[in-house]
Amino acid sequence: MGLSRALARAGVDVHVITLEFPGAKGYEEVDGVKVYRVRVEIGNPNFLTWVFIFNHFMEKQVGMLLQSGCSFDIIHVHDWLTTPAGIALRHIMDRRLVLTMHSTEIGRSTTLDNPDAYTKDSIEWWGTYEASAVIAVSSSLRWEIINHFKVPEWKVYALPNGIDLDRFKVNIDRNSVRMKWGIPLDAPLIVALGRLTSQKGFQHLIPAFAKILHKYPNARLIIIGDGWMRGELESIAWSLGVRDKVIFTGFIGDREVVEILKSGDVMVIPSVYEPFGITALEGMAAGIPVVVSSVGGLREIVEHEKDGVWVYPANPDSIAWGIDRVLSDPGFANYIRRNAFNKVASKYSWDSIARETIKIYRRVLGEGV
Amino acid sequence: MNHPNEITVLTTLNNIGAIRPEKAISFSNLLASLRVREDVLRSIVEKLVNQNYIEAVDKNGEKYYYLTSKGILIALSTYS
Repeated sequence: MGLSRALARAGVDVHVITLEFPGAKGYEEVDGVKVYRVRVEIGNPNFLTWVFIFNHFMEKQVGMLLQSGCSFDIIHVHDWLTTPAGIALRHIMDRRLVLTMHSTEIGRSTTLDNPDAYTKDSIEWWGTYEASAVIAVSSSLRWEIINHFKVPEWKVYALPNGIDLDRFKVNIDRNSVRMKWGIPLDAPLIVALGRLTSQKGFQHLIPAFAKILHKYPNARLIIIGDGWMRGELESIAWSLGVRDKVIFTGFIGDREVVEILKSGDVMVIPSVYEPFGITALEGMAAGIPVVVSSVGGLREIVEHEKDGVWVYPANPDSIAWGIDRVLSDPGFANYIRRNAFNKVASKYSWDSIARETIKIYRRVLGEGV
Repeated sequence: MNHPNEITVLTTLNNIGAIRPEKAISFSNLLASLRVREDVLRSIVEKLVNQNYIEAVDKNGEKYYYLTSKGILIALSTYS
């Protein structure tokens, strides 16, 4: 929604079609963005079939809008999940399609060794073929798309995600936050945030944390988020004898996320595959020093030793080194924290990303810029 | 979430659209969709209810299940 809001601020008439969610309205206007939450009336246990079903209901929603007199210049879809609807609508409406890719199946799964992965990969290729422009959220992903799908270079743009800095302009009481989560007030606090999936690399962070405890026995690790890997991660923490010092928050509200980030001493993003790395931006905006795996988009967002620290992916020794690099030198921690905040404020605002997105829209419409 | 089949139950409920009380699915239909042993599914469902990932409603004396907001987020976390 950050991009949609910024596009609306820039004068674009934005209609967002998304899936229903309990408690959310079927239609509402949010900061100038018209949001339609589609009710998917039928389902199917098979995942891919479900995807095609909800795409159909999204197409139906757009069909109703067209019947009511709405008209659109651009169809902008994100990832393969909504690509089928985007392609259908592009042909029905005879309009240009823009596809933003946040990752690829080949990157997420590393192999295409099952029918579902191969199908997703094929739909991704189909999207890149049909789209007039493909937006990749980092330069590394742009090259991945060009090389893997054999897309002409001129068609693929690298344009990062942005961040809403206002989310982080809150005053917090660090001690209260720590007491709420049972964290000693003087404990070095390591924060991690993200979906609990193998791609995010938390299985390497917990062993790194066990090493850190040798030097900082009072340290705590708080992992914000949930996902299918939670049980396995808890087992790793138990097996290493550190479960009592690792806090799993599960899904929590946005305000609580910001509170924890602002109360922490170092944030670690240990991903093994990360085409962009929005969590790094969140940490940088919150003013917590970040330690990131030197992969994909994280390498592009963070400059080593200037506004963060790079560590080797899937390497607990290296991750522990990165954490200690920050915890052991408060002057360095302050230096990278300040630089990181300035970078996020100048380079990753949604308004500047929206301006670049509009340039791409104009190019595909043949308007020139 | 220790057993992979818990995720299967959550994603199945999501994919069949059981995300609100009126779209809840009976235990017997869920069993037919998943093709697992009844006792295994029953223990998974009980655990997911206790963890507030799914909720049960009574319809004609039978329990029907649907995903909570928290359960939907878990299911969707496997997809991106």
